[in-house]
Amino acid sequence: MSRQARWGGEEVLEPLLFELGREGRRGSFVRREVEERFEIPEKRRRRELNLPELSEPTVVRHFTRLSQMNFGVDSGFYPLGSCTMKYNPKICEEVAAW
Amino acid sequence: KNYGWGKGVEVLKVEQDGKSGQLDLDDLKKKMDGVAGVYIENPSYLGFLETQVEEISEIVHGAKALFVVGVNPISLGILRPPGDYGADIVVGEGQPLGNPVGFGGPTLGIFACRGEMEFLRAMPGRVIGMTETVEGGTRGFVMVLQTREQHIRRERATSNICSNEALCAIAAAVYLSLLGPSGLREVAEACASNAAYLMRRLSKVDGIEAPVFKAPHFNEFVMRCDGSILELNRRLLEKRIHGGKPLIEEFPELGEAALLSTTEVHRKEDLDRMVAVIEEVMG
Repeated sequence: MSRQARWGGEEVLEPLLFELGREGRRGSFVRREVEERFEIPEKRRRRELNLPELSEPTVVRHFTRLSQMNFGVDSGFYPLGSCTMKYNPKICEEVAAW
Repeated sequence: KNYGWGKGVEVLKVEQDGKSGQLDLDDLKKKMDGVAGVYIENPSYLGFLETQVEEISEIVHGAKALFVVGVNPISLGILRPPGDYGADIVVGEGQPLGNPVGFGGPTLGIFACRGEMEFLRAMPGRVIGMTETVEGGTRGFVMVLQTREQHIRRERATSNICSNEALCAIAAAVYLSLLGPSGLREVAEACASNAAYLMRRLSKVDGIEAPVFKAPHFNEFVMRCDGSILELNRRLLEKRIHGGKPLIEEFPELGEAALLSTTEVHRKEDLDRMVAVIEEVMG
């Protein structure tokens, strides 16, 4: 029998992004310089968009916690190979970004 | 012409109106006999929106076929979702959702269908279900419908997926979390607004026709020029600007044309600089 992974103690389960969302929050702003009217008929426009509204720290914490629910290349030595073997060692990524 | 050939899928092309690019509904009706499904892209490959989607849906479903729609996910920040106008299956390129273009990959695909068992069982890709643990009744996530998967079904599996696609999918989820509903709408508006501005500016340049198709556009459009499009692109490249994708081989009937695209990363000065170079070349 398998158990659901946790990032903390037994009673701590990471909520879904939809549960973390609060009206009016946002994690980024979009720069827009050109204010040109574009021709998209009213009938073709969408009325609602069901995505959660989240702040940037909430998003960072959520995905960090999820990453800690699993043992992976960032947690320590990982002797399994196939997909994960294609990742470069962290130090090489660092050097490539110089 | 596409990956369907391996399965012996026969593909028929439906005619489109030369001026507006819209699908020829009479031609579609004529070709519906014994058809399994109809695929359209909205926005189309050539950038214009297909506005007769309700009519197409009715014709397709009237012939008991499936209606499949390909989308650019960013456009859905402002456009009605295909499920609204009767699509059975929606597919799309997931790269625009926060993944770099990276010289062609890695990237991810979007695949959605109506929530019926008949569709779910035939669906490629992993299906993850939310459930409750036996002891304690806490929430848990598991792979469901595993009989379709490669570790059980072997070579007849419909699901073949690799962890690197999951990595791209996580990036897409992070991107959408940070944007939220207003952010995605604003990105879509910025894309469409930039394209509308560029179309208006280019249409005033002598020897340039933009957009070629008289229909609403999202963030891509076809531009035609008097003279060689390859030469125009070469002159743009000299000024370190990538011109549009030439369409002379794919769509010779469009003449010296190219497909241009703008996104929210383009600033007004970028667009103005491109117009200035094209003006100089054409003038």
